[in-house]
Amino acid sequence: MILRPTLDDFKLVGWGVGRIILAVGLIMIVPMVTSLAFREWNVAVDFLIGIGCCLIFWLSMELTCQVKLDLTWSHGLVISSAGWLLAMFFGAIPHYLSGHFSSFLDACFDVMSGFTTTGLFLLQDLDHVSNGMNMWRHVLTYAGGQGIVVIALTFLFVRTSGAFSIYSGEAKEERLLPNVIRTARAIWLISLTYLVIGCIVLFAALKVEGMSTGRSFLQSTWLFMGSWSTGGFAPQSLNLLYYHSFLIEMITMIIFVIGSLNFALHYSVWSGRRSEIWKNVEVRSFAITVSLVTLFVTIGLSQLGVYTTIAEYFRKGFYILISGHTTTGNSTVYSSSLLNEFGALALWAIVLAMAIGASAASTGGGFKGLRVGVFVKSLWHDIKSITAPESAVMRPKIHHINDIWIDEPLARGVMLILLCYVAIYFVGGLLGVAYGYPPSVAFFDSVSAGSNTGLSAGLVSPLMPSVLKVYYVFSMWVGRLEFLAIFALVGMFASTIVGRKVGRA
Amino acid sequence: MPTSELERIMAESRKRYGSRWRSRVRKWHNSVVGIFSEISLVVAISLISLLIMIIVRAIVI
Repeated sequence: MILRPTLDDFKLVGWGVGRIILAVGLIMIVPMVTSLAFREWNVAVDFLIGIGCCLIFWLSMELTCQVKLDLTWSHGLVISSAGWLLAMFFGAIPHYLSGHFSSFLDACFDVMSGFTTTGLFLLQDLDHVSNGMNMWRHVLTYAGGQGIVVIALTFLFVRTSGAFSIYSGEAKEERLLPNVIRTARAIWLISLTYLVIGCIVLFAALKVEGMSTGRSFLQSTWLFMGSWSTGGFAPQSLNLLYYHSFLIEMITMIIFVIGSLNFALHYSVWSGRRSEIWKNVEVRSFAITVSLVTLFVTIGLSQLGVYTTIAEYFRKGFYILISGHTTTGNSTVYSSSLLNEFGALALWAIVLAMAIGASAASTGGGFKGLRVGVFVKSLWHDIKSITAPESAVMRPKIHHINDIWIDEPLARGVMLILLCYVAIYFVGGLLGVAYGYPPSVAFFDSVSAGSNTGLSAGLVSPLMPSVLKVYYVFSMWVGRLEFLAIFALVGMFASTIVGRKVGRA
Repeated sequence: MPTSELERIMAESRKRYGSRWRSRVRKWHNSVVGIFSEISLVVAISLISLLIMIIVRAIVI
């Protein structure tokens, strides 16, 4: 029997979403201060309007939605999914007011792309965007990488009961510490430590490349935020190609690969369990899939013969491959080069890498290495079971921080999520083909959006059909939250219509 | 809890885990070594991939 949610349930969700929107408003202070520092007064006003809207929404939720109701699992999931959706609308206000977007839908697309650390963009004339707007784009992706809910939990949630359900709704199921709010703070500690180190190293590299001190400071911050969060945003339309620097390419690569690792793994390694890094199933899965995809990309590039030196193979082929695999989307080639210079084999190998994606509970997207590990182990176990004697007792296990035994519910859950990912990739690809795009382009960009990668073979542009824009926004949203929170949101609205009204005990 | 008992537990804890400063230094040390471990992982994966590229290219071309 499905129960119809009561008004109190909606109020509780409204209260939680209000806190998340407040977090979005508070994040906007960073680009506003940047705008003021660079005397970009009009841009500062755009952010002031955005902050004002967030504060009004939060205040109205605080005043109207105070209920004495315990936060349940389903409330938490709905708060997460609805919070992300509304965060997109509120975050799009400064975007739209900037005048760099042809419609509010385009602005929403970019904000969802930023929050979900995808990196696709419809912003026009990126090379002449204000410093404040560039800061907002990168802060969006940095905040989204850690999670908007993680920010809200860190600073704005006092009560811990039920907080774990909101945290889980953001596709982070692992607790680094027993207390979920301390877990959220630990995630921020790791990210901020790397922010300081990464910015210093990138600043030095940009200075070596001859950039002025002011530009080096801003660009190192933006490059770090785009790379660490596996967002792939860069302040120029040419992305990493703009710098023509092997040094900067290598530094960003190290940053985004580390950024794509599981926060639980970071915490474990930082706590002294260094052997974990070599034993962890996600790291092993990542190393194996990178090696396999490297093989295919190298064969593909060799067949076409556009790139001749091993340095070109590494800086173009391997960089794009690993950027795709970590779902970052930083690029050292033009979109058209992906089609014309990589060839079908290399292109589809990168599609596979993007589909697999990064680690669970990280800033990245895709299937996740943990699920690939469980899937492969389960498959291997089934094959061994067929050949083993009937009396043999075998149980597969994986190592992720601790040894985890793979039972049937775990394997079934993993398969369900994998199928959901395949479905959103496939539907997006078919939709692109239906609109007349070549299959390789349509599927490449669909997988890129669904896995929150951000590489594009040329489909994503302000001129793409609105239906595709809406589908890609949906795809980025569900891909980032890993379906469960979205199912809870849909379920809540469905039960409002078909659920039975029952008095609370 | 009596003060003597508390002191005894604290002394035992210090003996086992070291002083508060030593504990902080150990934490910092672990974090720094952890960061270098993560960087070495990326370098290792990159080198393996580079090796694969060199071998495959030598075979294919």
